[in-house]
Amino acid sequence: MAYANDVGGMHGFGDLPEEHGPLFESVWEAQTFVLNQAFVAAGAYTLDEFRATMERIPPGEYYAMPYYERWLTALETLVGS
Amino acid sequence: MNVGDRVRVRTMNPPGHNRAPRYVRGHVGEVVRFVGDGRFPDESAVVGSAAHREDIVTVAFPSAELWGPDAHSGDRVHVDLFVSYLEQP
Amino acid sequence: MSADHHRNAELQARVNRLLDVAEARGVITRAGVDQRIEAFSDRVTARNGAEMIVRAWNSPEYRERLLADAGAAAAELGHVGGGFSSDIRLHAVANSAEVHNVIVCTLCSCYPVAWLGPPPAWYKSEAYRSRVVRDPRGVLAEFGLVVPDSTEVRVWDASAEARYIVVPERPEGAEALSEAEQVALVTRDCLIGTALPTVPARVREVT
Repeated sequence: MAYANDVGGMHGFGDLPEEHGPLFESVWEAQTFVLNQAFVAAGAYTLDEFRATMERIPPGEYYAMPYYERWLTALETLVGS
Repeated sequence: MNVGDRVRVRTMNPPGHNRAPRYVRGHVGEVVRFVGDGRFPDESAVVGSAAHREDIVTVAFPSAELWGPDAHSGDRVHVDLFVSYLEQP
Repeated sequence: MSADHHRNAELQARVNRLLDVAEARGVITRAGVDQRIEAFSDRVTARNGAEMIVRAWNSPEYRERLLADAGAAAAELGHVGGGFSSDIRLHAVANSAEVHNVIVCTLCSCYPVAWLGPPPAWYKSEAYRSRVVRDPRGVLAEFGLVVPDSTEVRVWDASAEARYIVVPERPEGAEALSEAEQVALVTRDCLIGTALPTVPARVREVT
């Protein structure tokens, strides 16, 4: 710690994104969201394991990734694919 | 640890998973609510659901304590913290 | 095929492999995934949170129960949360003339999904998460919400498994509306704390 996720108080992330669209921009995002809930509910891993796995993505890659790709990358690490 | 107590977040920088945001580490606030207990995240991130459980409290920090004199006086930031992250100020 | 389309197809292919793993391990079927996604457009939406707020506006007893144990108060209205992790608990924080509340999760993007549906993009953004703890008034002003100097702003950073929902005050004129009409005033952003419910001018004129 701190990893790339720990952003409270940081400067430089720019303006808030405009938001008028759907909550999920693509089907794979919604599927990733639901898959994570399902794996946690099934006891495959805890939310803390999920978050810790995401946090280990190196900062440069982490910030460059679309939000749900971080989730997807952590899911792949935790359950294989 | 009771509601109304003043507490300091431990100054720490563990290499693993941890749920004390760095912007509150070393800072003093007031316990305003007992949240309940939860799996200790630092351990749960490694061993999963076998991790021990620990109490969680909400600590209110004056904004000026965290950000200095530019912060709006009277505003507060509330953070839920596991009790082992905290010490007496 | 544009670069974006290509990238999207790549990501979809990766998710498809995970969908196969999930199905093979008996975690969830593809049909199960589809059903849950559909629920985010009809059942699991910010309307659930809005119904709780409006009930609290109209029943002091419900308001008391909501502020004491929001999860149980939600369940009274049939909105059973938590779900995929038993440690997730809901807590309601009430606005007043003296206090304005706003929620965030700086470490990831914890959000009361079971009661509000999935979070909007801005809530998950580093821009919101980094700034709202440091300069809540500036962020709220960008949402068109100017908080008076005399009102205390309380930011709630959901860093453990508690989830927060803001209870806005009932705006003037809303008492003349039906409960269903009041529910429509309580938008998702009102429940996050980046907006306040307002009564349309034409309604105010007739009341």
